Amino acid sequence: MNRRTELLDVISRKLAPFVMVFGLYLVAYAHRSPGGGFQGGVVIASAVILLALGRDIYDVERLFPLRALHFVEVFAFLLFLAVALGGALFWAGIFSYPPAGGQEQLGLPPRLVLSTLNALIGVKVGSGVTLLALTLFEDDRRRP
Amino acid sequence: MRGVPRILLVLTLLVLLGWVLLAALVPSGHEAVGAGRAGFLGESEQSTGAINLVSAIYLAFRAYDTMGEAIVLMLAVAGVSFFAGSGAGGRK
Repeated sequence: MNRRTELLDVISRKLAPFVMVFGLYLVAYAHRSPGGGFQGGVVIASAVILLALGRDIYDVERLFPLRALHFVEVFAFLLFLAVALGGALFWAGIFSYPPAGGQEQLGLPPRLVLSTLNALIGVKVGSGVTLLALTLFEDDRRRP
Repeated sequence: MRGVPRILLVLTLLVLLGWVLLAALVPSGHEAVGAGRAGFLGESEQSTGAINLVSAIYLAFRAYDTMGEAIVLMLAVAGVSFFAGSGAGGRK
């Protein structure tokens, strides 16, 4: 970004943490208010994109290395599958939830499984969309 | 329109038309629809703990769909970083 202005720089750096917190809020409270993993993840990714627009993209890539984002995305998906298979192991079947009032297996509340899946989807979508954007924004001529 | 046989086009249009007619003719208060709605509304909070019905549906009743979407996104990321990436896993 050669034509960067001070205004964009300051605004994006001040705004991005709040956007990120809002994304986390969307993920964390998806069970009782509008939101969810996909939406929250995209909002989190938009905070990173805002930083990349305001600052230099390679500064942002030092903060969120692409290799780490790849790892985080795949690992979140593996954990998602693990939670799904855990349902088959402990409860009725794949992607099943603990019975509501039951204390027979582990005694977990069903909302814990839902929130875990939501958080994993949020992390996965957030890192995935960030990866898409950062990869496409890269400019090979200015690679440090 | 040269390569596509005309009969295929007509059939597709007919199927679409039939679909729209079917959707318009089946009333929303139909017995099966009502039963499904009642099931979702009554069961979702108790069985998943989510007041938000959307979350309950996309993470519990339609969880396979969510998993498929996650896979689609992962494939998209893999494709982009293969074709356009230069660092991890890129081909340039």
